[in-house]
Formats: sequence, structure tokens, C-alpha cells
Amino acid sequence: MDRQKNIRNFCIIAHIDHGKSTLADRLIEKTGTLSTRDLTEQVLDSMDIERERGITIKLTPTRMFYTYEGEEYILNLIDTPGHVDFTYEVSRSLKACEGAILVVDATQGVQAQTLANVYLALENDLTIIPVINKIDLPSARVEEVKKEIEDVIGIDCTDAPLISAKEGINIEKVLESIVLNIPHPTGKQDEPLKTLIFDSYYDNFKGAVSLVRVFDGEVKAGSKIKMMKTNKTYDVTEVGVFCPQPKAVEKLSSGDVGYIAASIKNVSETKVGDTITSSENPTAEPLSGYKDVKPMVYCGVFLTDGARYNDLKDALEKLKLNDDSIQYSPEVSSALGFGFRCGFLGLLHLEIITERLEREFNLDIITTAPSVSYKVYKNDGEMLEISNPSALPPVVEIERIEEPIASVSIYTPPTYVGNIMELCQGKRGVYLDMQYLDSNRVLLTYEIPLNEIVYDFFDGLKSRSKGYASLDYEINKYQKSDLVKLDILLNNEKCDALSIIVHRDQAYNRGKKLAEKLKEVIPRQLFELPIQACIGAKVIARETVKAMRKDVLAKCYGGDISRKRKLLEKQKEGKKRMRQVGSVEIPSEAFMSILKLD
Amino acid sequence: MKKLSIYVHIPFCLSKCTYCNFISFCNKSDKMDAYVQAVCNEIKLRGKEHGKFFDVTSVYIGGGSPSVLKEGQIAKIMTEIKNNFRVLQNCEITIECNPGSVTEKKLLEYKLVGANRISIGGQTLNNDILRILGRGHTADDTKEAIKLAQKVGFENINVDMILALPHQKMSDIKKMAKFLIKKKIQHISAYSLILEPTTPLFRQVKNKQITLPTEDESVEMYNYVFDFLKKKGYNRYEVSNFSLPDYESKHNLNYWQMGEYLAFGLAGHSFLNNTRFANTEKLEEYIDSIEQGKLPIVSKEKINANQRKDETIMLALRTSEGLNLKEFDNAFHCNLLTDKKKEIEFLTNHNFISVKRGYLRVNDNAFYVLNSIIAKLV
Repeated sequence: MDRQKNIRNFCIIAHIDHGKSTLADRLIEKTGTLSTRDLTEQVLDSMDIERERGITIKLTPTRMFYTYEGEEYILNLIDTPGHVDFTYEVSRSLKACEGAILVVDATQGVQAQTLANVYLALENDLTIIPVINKIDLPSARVEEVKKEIEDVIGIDCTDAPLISAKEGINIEKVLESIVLNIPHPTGKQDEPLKTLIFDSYYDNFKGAVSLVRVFDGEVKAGSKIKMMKTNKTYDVTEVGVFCPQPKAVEKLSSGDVGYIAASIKNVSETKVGDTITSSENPTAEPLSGYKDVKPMVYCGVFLTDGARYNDLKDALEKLKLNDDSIQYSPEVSSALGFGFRCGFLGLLHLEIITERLEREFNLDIITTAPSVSYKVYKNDGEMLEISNPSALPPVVEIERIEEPIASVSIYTPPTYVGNIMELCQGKRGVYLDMQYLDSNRVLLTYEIPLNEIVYDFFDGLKSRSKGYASLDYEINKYQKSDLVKLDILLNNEKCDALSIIVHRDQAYNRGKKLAEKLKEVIPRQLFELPIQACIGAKVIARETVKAMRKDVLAKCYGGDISRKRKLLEKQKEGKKRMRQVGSVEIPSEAFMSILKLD
Repeated sequence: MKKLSIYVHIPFCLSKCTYCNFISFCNKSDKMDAYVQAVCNEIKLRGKEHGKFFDVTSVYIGGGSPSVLKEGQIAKIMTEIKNNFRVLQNCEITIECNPGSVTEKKLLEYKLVGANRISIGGQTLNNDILRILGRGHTADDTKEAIKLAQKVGFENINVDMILALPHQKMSDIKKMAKFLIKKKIQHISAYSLILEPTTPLFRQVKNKQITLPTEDESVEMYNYVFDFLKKKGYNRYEVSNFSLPDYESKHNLNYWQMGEYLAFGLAGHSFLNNTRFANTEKLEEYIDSIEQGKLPIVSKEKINANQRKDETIMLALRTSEGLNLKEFDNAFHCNLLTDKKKEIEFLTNHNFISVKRGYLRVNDNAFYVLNSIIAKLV
């Protein structure tokens, strides 16, 4: 019990770009967990993609030591992602903590994710310490932002540390506040082991490693443990903490955050949200765990080189080991061959996973247009959940289609309200509410179909608000809608990978743009190539790629035959990247370019 | 006895054409003597190695401009070839001539040492275009060269024509084609300009100082030449080569039929025993190497069966005769008709190729998209 008095488990929550990872860096540096020399910027963002994009995707725990008034404290920090797509990761780390530092940018104030994350923290009964960051910037509005936090969120900001994580100003205040304000864990050391898995990853040497928060009891190498969901038992091979590199320790006791390795073959056995207990002396009740996350956005993932299908499968398996939110199932496309239908939490998640497939596994990926999951009610009463346009049953069999509707909160400076309302209207948005948070910011609330949001809503929002508006959304219902499948015919043959489901009112416009774009990206073929956009049998747009007229090596004499052959080999190589749809050769890039039509 | 073609490269010119990316110099005439000597020595070296195993069926001295060599130098090279290789009685011997440097005396010399074919780099009869290209001769020079070659007694003359040149008009093409017919030129090479990335012309076009005819115009020019020459009894026996019956160039055909050849001189590319090898492109290095009795080979590539297969298709489809399917099957144990059934069906249905009497050939109307056709079949 005594020991736990000196432990603080906390996370940092913030809107994206408000300085969460930078603050984490400063805390690590200030507590001497890493020497400045070892400190790369954003140490906890270990993936290249995270550092390059300046975003946190995976949560990462770190143990730090801090001495306050002569006593040494263990501070366990769990870094969390800031983007809406990764809200579920945030909620996971919250369950392992007693408190949260809420970082708010002094120039931007409360933003969509600030609020979303605060609500999550409150749901989990966490103590929230507001921190105003970026006070060194000339445009900082410290007092206004403090007031905003008090008004909008209802948290007292009188003692909120005013810091600059970048410049290292007042970091000490944050550490002090953690010790003073965040409650210490209150687990029972002598009770049976009760441990929450809040994340897991795969290590080539240790097997599946669980990131855990120990609530009751203790665990060490040699302990016999049981996963309460699967009832499988394992012998613990190693327990440890993150400093921030994994480091083995003798044991983990109640209140601790660390990892457990037990030569587990498969990460699916270390299910996030599961409770680990002792197999010899199990606890009676598991911890409450988490809701299963459901993918929001789907797309087909294929390869430019179809022969590497098994590599893609392996890669997805490996990614899923560390990110349980990815769903995938095999899919066959007549145009793109064998691939997978994958489900993601959102567009950013989709983008990041496909980028990781390309980088970490060296695969050339083609993704089809993102789609959402529709509920299709057939005349015979059957209901199908369809996320793949080509799986839509024939129109005559469909009674109605329902699409997911998101409730959308947009925070924006008042100047852009007009632009943004126009955008939402164009996206079939239904206006719900507008609130002036203060003279600088407005909260707009809309209901917008998710399929409009996944299409190009983010880009539209950013460009119409010069990047100032922020967005949060949540699926709140399914609603009947007049949706149609838009098909693309190339040389009169349907190309399944290009089909999309759209609202009837937008079909014409979308079809026209699609056909125009394809005309640009499909090279001239040996014959004239008609491109048609159709709904059912009705052609709504048509473009033509003229036949190629000239493609010949005029001169080909002895001297340079090797060179000519190499040109031919290059052409052959290029053909591998082409997809055959009927008699038409389409470059892989064409499938991607239709994702951005504007 | 195996058959062999010989190519000799003469890397000297009076001026450098702006479209040319061949290895040739216009400021190294002081090296000519040493170069010719080196070529002769290379012929000797090679002759010792291969001379007795081959019958030489064609010799082609090209460049650059062989006609810039001093009097007697072509004779010296030809003599060296004859002394070291078995040159057949009916061997086709071609000398390439630039209208700006050829003289009656030189032509007589060529004739005396056995040359029976002259290739004249006329390119166009439009003086403005000749000037833009830096050709260093006029249309009259070309006409004069033709006249002299005929006067000296050459009965097999080729004239080069380039299509799709800067500012070129259809009327230029018509005028030149008609002129060549009138002069009863037996062989015409008419090829579209290839814009090579390292050339001055490429830069000029890129910087928009010069505009080239459009793709469509260039196709029209080509089609015109094809139609016109066909009417006049010329056969297009390869993409860019037209001739009266029995005047096909043996030397060129040998390339397209995957025959063996040895190339002497700077940057010469040879093909022997399924191996392609190339001489250095550096003049001094070439001369030094030969002086030391070493062959100046800088790259060597053994052609494997698959590459040979691709090359066979690539080259055979350039010819009007096409690909002999039976020979192909014998050589590669591959029945193209079944192996590429889908592609061949597609190409036949679209009237791009036809399969007749055991040959697969590209239809007249489809030669201009040959690469795409070949790409489907390899």
C-alpha cells in the first residue's frame, strides 16, 4: 500500500498538434529518464510515419522517476494519439490511468478533439489537469483560453500550469501538479492478480507482449497466468517496464504499468481489454474491459504485382498483431485480382496502414475508393451489410438501403462559418446547431452521411477554413437514403474496382468527374477506348481515349539491339504494373487517382 | 559454313547534326590515320580468331561519315577485311556517304575495292531544314552525290529520308519521294525522327525554340510515303526500309533475322555465339588498346534463351515477312499461337496482325504501333 502512494499513472490528452508529444519529450528529459543526447524529437513516436507526420498513432507507455520534496515518485506516462480515428486508443489508455493532463494550445483554444477526449476522461473518472501550452507564441491568448476551458469544459484553470513544451518553460510545474493532484493507485497487493491489457504488440524474440496495468496482486517471471476471456494459461517469461525502452524488472505489483511476456505465439491471444489473472489463484471478476471497435471505412487493398498476394496476407496479419482494429477478409476483383477488403477506423487510419504496408513490407498497394458499410434490406426481408459496391444485390431485389449518418462537430473561427456551411450543405448535411463559444470560435453541429465524410470532406474543410477548422464525428444512426451504384465501363466492360455507391443526386456529377479523370490517366491504347459512367444500364457520362497512333522504334540496326531489347524489357516491366480489364490496360495509378477527383 | 556480317564504324564527320547521338567527332581529323590503322589492326586480331569459320555475306562501312576519310583509307580497310575474312563473291558491300564530303574520286575508289552499294544521307531536300539540323550540305549536294554515284556505276543506291523533322511539311516529303523515284533510287530508308535526350535538338524542342510536327502529322507523312512508294513498286520490307524487288539490304536483314555480325571500330556492337559485346566509345582508349594488341571490349552480355526469344520476336515483326512460327517453335520449343492465344486473337480481331502460311506478320496499317504489338507478344 505504501509503495502505491508514490505511483502516478497518467496520460496526456490533446487535440492533434497541440503539443502532446513535445510535452511528453520534455517530461522524459526533465526527469532524466533519457539523456538529452538520446532524446530524438518525439521519442515516444517510434514509427517513422509518426515522426514524419508529427502525429502519434500508437499509444506508448514510459516510466519516469521524479523527486518531490525529498520523496521519489514513479510517474507512468501513457502517450495517446490525438486524431479522431484513434479515439479508441485514447479510451484504452484512460482505463489504465488515474489522471490525465489536458494540453490546450494557447493560440487555438479548445478544439474538437480536446472536448472529445475530455469527455472520455470524465467517463473514466480521471482527474484532469489542464495545461496551457505554447505560451511563448506571440499569438498566445492565455487568459481567454483559460476562460474558454472553464466555460466550455467546466474545469477550473486557476492553477493550470502555463507552459511552453517546445521551449521547456514551466515543465517542473506540470510534474509537481501530477504528484499533487493525480490520485495514487489504490489496488490491493495481497489480492489475486488482476491486470488489464491495454495494448499488445508482437516481438520476434518474446512473442506477443501485453502492455498492462496491474490493479491487484503482483506478477513476475515464472508466474502462471490466465487470460480470462480465452481461459488460456501461460508461464510468464519476463515482466518489465518502459524507460521508454523495454527493460525487464523482477516483478510488477498493483499500481504498476509495464509489460508481460509469456512466449505467446499470437497477439490475438493477448486481447486488448482482457484481464490477466493468476491461473492458480484467479480473481473472481474480470475488469470491465473495452467495447469492440468497429471499422468505419472500408476499401479494397490489392497489389500491383498480384504474385505477392501471400506477402500482403502476411503483412496484414503482422499489422493486425499490433492493431486489432484492422479488419480484413479476402476479396477477388476481376480487374485487380486477389486482394483484401479491409476495414479501418477512419481515413487517416486507412492512409497510415496502406503507407505502412508499402514501407515496412515493401509492397506496391492499390486501394479502391473508400466506402462505408451500408445496410441493404432486400425485398425478401433479408438484411445485408455491404461495404463493397460490387457486392450490392441487383436493384430489383433491394427494398431500401440505409447509410450511416455521422453527427459532426466542427470548431471554426467565425470568418469561415459561411464557407463551411456551404460545404456541409453540398455534402448532404443537415444543420443542427450553431454555438458561439467565444468571439473567436463557433461550434457548428451537423448530421452528415458518413460516405460524404470519407469522400473528401477533410480536404474540403481544411481548404475552406485555411486549416483552422477542426472536426469530430461520431456515427449516431443509419438512415434510409436514395443511393445508387455508379459503375464504370471501359470499352463496354464493367470495371468492378471502380464502382462506387453514391447518392442519386450526386451520381451525375461524380460520374462525369470520374470519366474525365480516367481519360487523363489511362494511356492511349491500340484502339479507341470509350469510358462510360453508368447507373444500371443508363449511361450518365462518356469520355473517349483516342487510339494510339505512333509507338514504334523507327530505326533499329545492329549496333543498339541490346538497348532496344532493354527498352522492350522496360515496357514489359511497365505492363506488369498495368491491370487488364477486358482488353484495356489500366495503370495501377489510375485506381488511386480517382480517390481525389477535385 | 556460318554466315557473318561485318560493320565498320567511322566516327568522323564534317559537322555534328543536332539530332544525332551516334559516336562521332567533327574536330578530331588529326586522329584519322591512327584510327584507320587501329581499325585495320582490330580486323587482323579478329580475323585470326574467327576468319576461317565464317563466310562474310555483307560489309557495311557506316558512321559518322565514312566519306570524310582521306582517299585510300576506305580501300585500306576493305583490303584488310578481304585479307582476313572469307568475303563471298556476291557479298553486299555498302559505303555510307555524306553528300557534303563524297567526291567522284572517292566513289571510284569504293567501286574499285568491291563496294556495290552506296547509302547517301540525304535526309531532306529542304535547305532550311538541312540548316536547322546542322547537316552541313545542301539539297543540291545530295542531288549531285546521287548523280555521281550513278555515273560511277553503282546500281544499288540507298537514300535516307527523315520524316517529322522541324518545320517539315507534307509537301517536302512528297517532293523528295518523287525526286527519288524519278532518279530510280533502288532503296529508300524513311524513318521518323527520334528525339534523343542527349542531343542539341532535344534541348531546343524542350525549350520550345523548335517545334516538331505532331504525332498525327508524323503518322500521315509515314503513311504517305508508304502508299506512294508501294504504288511505285517499292516493297516495305521493314518498318523504315523500302526497296524495289531484290534490292533489300542483306546487311539490315541480317540484323532482323538474328544473324551474327562483327563490328569494328569505335563503339562497335557485335553479336557472336549468342553474345552481344561492344567496343569502347572513347577514341583514344580505342586506339591505345588496339596498339597494345588488346580488343577494346567494354561490355559483354550473354543472351539467354528468353532474351533471344524476345529479340527474335521484336526483330522479326519489324519485317514484312514476319515471324516464321515453325522456326520459332524449333528454336525455342514454344508454340506462339497457343502460348499467346489470347493476345494473338485480340490482335487479329483488331486487324493488327495476321497469321498466314506459317508466318505471323504485322499488318501494313499497324506498323506504326509496332512496339505495343510486340509488347503484347513477348
